[in-house]
Amino acid sequence: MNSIFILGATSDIGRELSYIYAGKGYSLILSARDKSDLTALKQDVKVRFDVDAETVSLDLQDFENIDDVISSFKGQICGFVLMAGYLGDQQLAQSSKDEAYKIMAVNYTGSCAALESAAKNLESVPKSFIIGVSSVAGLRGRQSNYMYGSAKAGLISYLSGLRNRLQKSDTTVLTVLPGFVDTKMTAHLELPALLTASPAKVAADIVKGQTRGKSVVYSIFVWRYIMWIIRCIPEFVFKRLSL
Amino acid sequence: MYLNRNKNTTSWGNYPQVDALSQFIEREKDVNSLDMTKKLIARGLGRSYGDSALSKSIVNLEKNDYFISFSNEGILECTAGVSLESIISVFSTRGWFLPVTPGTKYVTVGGAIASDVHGKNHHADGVFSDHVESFRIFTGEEILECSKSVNPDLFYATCGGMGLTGIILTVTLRLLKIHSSYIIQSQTRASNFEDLMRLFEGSESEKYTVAWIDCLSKGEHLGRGVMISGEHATYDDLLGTKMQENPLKLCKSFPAKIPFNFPSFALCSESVYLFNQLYFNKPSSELDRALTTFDPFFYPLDFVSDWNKIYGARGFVQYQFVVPMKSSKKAIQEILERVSDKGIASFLAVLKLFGKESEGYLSFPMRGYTLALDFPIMEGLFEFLDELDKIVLDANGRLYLTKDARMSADTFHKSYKNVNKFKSVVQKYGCDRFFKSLQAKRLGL
Ligand SMILES: Cc1cc2nc3c(=O)[nH]c(=O)nc-3n(C[C@H](O)[C@H](O)[C@H](O)COP(=O)(O)OP(=O)(O)OC[C@H]3O[C@@H](n4cnc5c(N)ncnc54)[C@H](O)[C@@H]3O)c2cc1C
Ligand SMILES: NC(=O)c1ccc[n+]([C@@H]2O[C@H](COP(=O)([O-])OP(=O)(O)OC[C@H]3O[C@@H](n4cnc5c(N)ncnc54)[C@H](OP(=O)(O)O)[C@@H]3O)[C@@H](O)[C@H]2O)c1
Repeated sequence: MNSIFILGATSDIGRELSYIYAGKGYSLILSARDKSDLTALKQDVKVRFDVDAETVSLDLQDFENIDDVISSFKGQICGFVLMAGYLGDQQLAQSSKDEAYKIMAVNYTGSCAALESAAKNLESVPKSFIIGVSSVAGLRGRQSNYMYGSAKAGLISYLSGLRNRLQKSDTTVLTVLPGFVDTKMTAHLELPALLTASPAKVAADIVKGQTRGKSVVYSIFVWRYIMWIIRCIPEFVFKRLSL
Repeated sequence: MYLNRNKNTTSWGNYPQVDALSQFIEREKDVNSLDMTKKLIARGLGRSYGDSALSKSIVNLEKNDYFISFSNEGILECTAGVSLESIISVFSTRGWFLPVTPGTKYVTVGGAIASDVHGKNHHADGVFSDHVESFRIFTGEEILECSKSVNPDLFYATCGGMGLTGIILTVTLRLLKIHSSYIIQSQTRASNFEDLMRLFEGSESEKYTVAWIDCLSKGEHLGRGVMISGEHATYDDLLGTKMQENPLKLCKSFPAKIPFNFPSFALCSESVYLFNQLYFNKPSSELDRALTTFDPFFYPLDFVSDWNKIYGARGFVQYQFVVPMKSSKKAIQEILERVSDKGIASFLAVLKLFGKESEGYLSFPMRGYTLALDFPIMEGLFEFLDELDKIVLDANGRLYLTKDARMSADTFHKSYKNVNKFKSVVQKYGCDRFFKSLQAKRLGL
């Protein structure tokens, strides 16, 4: 029982997180949709850290399948990380139902289904943990990405409810709120260097939060204050801003 | 895959600069989505000095850094964007090291093959490609496996071929077994160039040899320098020291940063003079044997990351040439004289005696001495270097392509004897329709 299931392991942050856990000697179950990406990561982790790693392909839009896939690792896992996410295209989502649905399904409904399954399988496992990666975008809706933001907001609420439910068990639940991260998801955007974290930094912050039993971590920490200010702006002002 | 546009894309010498669109390949499948309408050139970590990894359209492989497999016999398979730094940090603690390493570890294996890099052990162990079992390369149309026996012509064109045969995707190479992560290093001072040559020729049984030359000294001291030699320490060498407890411990040194382009005056000849004085007064005795670690021995320049910025925003060129044994003494002394007369100080001058010529058609090393000098870009520099080119050509030598940013097509064609072979292979596989660098254009390749 020393495997960690990382869903979205092939993301830039997921890869760094896999390295940290493999470095600590955990076995890994690496999951996302693309099989060849998963295989590449599996081989890489094995060579680098000489640990066991296996892959399982899972699509968060494939709602029916999620619980079966995750539950098949029951008894093997002691930790579950929901890293997968989909930024999508806000403009497109306003006219395309498919895009809007996809953003919501990957970031909210599918994510919750995966976490629900993880909770079921980890609840009775001593010293187990669940990590959900949301985003500071979920703290206040903005015109530039409210489809994504609202789904991530739902995920934040879901995680706080789950943490409340698992309070009595030996399973911790960590909500991760990254600000800007320099990854392929954001490669096309110009991000302010001082507010942008590297994937390795976010991964390190996640593991630090998890080992210390934290409930919520921001990465990088200044985002806690930035978002506090943003949330203080009265709605009648906020609605006029072009954010 | 994703894109990035940078108006001032440059390599290590910060010269030249080009407005380039980079396509970042993270995985092999990304090759299928490459925009190939403009001619491309592969790029690793951009540690080549000039324009070999530059073009308006670049394929960047630094994110394609995955290990694939490793056997206990030391055979490593990885993707082309893996850096030598990663290989050292993953494998040295398991008793394996790079069979050949250049003076910086921040290069990719793809770049190491494309430049067919050499290290301080060239006289003993040859070039990087001598330790490559095989690689897979995208020629623009297909992905081909290459080794000394499979598609050998493409193999030899690619080793040293400066990215012009396509994009190397994966590499299988043999690592070197080591018993400790320490090096036994000796430093010996030489009072002039002849002295240095004698030292080199008397140390061919040492694994690693290199020398630093003080370019400002003249007359009877012309070419005075320090020869540094070394070999991997064995377990026995560590007996009785603290290091014996963990002989393979990896000691990492964290580089200091130079955050911005230094004003150019920081490199006036006085500051170089002082630096050289400092360096030459460093060895405590004539023969100084000591244990040291990988970083200071192999990568002294990596201590200061971005040291290339001290040359200011105009950038610099590194002038590295090799001349055959017979003509080495005369040619190198003449060049050193010109350099010291001119007073265009070279911050670094590194001398090395190469072993036998390699088989890559455009591989640089040949039996003889190689000297590398740095020059900040300034008025009249290129004319001066053209004069040095003549000396090198007369001595039947050549310049290292991975350092070059200014040689003429004529000099290139006169000095690289296998150019035609190279061109015919490139045509045979059709790579020339898809790949071209600024350097290739300049050299008529
Ligand atoms: C401080 C310092 C010390 C150095 N010392 C030495 C030394 O001792 N010996 C030595 O030989 N060199 C030395 N070099 C030069 C360096 O080793 C080479 O320039 C090397 O090729 C750089 O690798 P890179 O990954 O940065 O490649 P880049 O600089 O990005 O590219 C170099 C060339 O390789 C090609 N290339 C890169 N990746 C691929 C690929 N995947 N497929 C096909 N072509 C590719 C490019 O097109 C280009 O022509 C030194 C450089 C520095 C900065
Ligand atoms: N980058 C940022 O600035 C930023 C900021 C705040 C929060 N975040 C969050 O951090 C997490 C990681 O971000 P990243 O930028 O590293 O992401 P990324 O590189 O875009 O990777 C996304 C990951 O999710 C997987 N995925 C996508 N759709 C999926 C689906 N339908 N089913 C299962 N897996 C799916 C992807 O693999 P496949 O495509 O193979 O499925 C990949 O592993 C995400 O949750 C993201 O929302 C990122």
